[in-house]
Amino acid sequence: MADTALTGLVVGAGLMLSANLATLRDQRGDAGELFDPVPIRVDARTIATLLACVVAGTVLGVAVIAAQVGSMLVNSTPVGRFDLAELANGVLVTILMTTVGVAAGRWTPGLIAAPIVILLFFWAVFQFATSWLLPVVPRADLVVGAPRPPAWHALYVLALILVFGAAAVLRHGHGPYRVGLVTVGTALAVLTATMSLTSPEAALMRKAIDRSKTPTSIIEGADHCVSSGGVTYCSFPSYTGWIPLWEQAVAPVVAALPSEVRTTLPTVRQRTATGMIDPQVLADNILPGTTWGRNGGEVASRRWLAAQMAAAATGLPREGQYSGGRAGCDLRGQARAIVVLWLIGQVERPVLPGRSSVYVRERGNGAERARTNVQSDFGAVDYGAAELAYAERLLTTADAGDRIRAGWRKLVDPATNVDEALPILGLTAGSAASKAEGTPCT
Amino acid sequence: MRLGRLSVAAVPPVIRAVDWTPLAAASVTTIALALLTTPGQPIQVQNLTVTARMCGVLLGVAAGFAVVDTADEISAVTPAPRWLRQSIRALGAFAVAAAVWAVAVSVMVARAVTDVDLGIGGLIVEAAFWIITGLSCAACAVRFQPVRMAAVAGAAVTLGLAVSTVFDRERFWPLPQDDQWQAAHVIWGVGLVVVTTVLLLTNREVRR
Repeated sequence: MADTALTGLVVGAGLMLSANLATLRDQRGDAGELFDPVPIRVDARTIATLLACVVAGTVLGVAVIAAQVGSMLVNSTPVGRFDLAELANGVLVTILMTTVGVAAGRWTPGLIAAPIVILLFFWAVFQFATSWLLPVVPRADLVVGAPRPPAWHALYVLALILVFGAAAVLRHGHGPYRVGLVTVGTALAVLTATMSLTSPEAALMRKAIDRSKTPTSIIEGADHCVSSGGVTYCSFPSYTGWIPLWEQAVAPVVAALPSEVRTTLPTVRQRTATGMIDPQVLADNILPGTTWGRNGGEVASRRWLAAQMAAAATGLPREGQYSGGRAGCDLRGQARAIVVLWLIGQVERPVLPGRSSVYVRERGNGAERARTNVQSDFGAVDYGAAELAYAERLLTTADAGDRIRAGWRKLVDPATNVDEALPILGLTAGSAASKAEGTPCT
Repeated sequence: MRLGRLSVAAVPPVIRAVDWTPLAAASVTTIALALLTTPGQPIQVQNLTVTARMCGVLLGVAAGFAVVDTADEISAVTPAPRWLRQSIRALGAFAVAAAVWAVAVSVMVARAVTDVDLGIGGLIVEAAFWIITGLSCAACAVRFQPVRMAAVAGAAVTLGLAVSTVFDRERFWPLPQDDQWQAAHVIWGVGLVVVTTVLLLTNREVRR
């Protein structure tokens, strides 16, 4: 939802430009002089522009944010915490930015003021990403379900709107009401800022962020656990709705394994998007994140999770683990390639690995060289079309499960090659078995 | 030869005719941002890149104001053709913006952490792209109407472009340590060629 509030910043930037132009209309084409004989005075025009800004900011902000939140609900299993105050904050930010646009227009005649202020808003948001003094705080996602003080914060933004609105009107004279309004607004802003910063929720948030720097932090708090079919699934308390989704991907894989393997499987435990990853945490857990595909994307999510469990069962490196260096290892020619792909096939149709070309900077001399990274559903594990073709043939064979379970120990041994596995699996040799091109997986 | 003399002669009056206020305001802001980046402690790579990138976009937006020639429509009879006058404006604004950006980044580099690569080469390509994008967008807009408002339209498009790339941060705005750094700067380099071509094309004579 922090992302959604950030959308408010983009909408607000557009509105700020418009509001600034509307305010500066007086200075273009001698419009100020033209308006002189009109009974409505210049301060009334400023107030009218401000009110128009509040209305436009609210309507556009609500429309865009509602559309965004609405679109996220299509074909998804919503989890997390729905916080209306936090969304209101997004709308308030758009209003604040338009108000600042009006104030800037009244106090500085230049057209450049609005673009500069917009850049300052974005700069501050990226530079002080976790400060509650910002009108919008983008990095609340460091810790899942961390307590946040959005209500105080929303009031703080409201006070800022008051300050800038009053400042715009203050340009036309220092009446007691106007000075009073600025004073009250400033006092309110200081008070609400202090409340935001010192509230118990803010302290908890800070503690949570400090904790996010420890090696086990990515799974800290993911302790809502459910055991099903011999596998433990742990999610953040606000993500319990996704455990059945994970189970759909993992249970068929586990059911296809020999019973002695089922007792040694890792826990499926949710992780946050950012943070340090401890190798031990990686070894003990399969780590689905805080995203899950929808509108077709769930196929890839399910396939990935199934692959992780299949890799864990057969001793392959998983996402984040490396055998054979960062470039990954090659499973071509090994019998277990067919087994893991067949295991994925219990859930979704397995696919060939993807590849990405990256440039890496060498330590020391800083020279750069190109490297091709493999990204399969297992992680940095490569395999070829031949293994995939065998697995697909195996998926159409009725007794494949029994054969695999019976010959399990031999099949998952890294030393067993495809040709040796074919009689065990009851397959005839098809296309030529591929040879390992990179470092073979161990 | 005649063109050479004409160009030299046209520089002083054209440069004097440029409204330098927006670029001056943006320059002050840029230097201030460089000084305000994590004050009192060594600047980390991510903070330096954020400020350097934002300053590039800001200076591009401000430079756009320099290509607005409100007298464009009545200058058609001057001996210097439009492309020459506009190119002098663009070149002058680019030089100032680039110099200010270089000063701001130098200020930050002096305070930056020393043990990691700051990726200055890549940042220079990005800054050049955004300054010329700001110039090109405004230069397109002034072809329709040579008024100062055109620069704001250009600014809106430039800012819109910048915001639209933020959503794919890994592809467009990686950190120097990221794998995508080189690939991203191939994109920025190609973009630089494109926006420079656009700028050159938009400086042509306007048919009225």
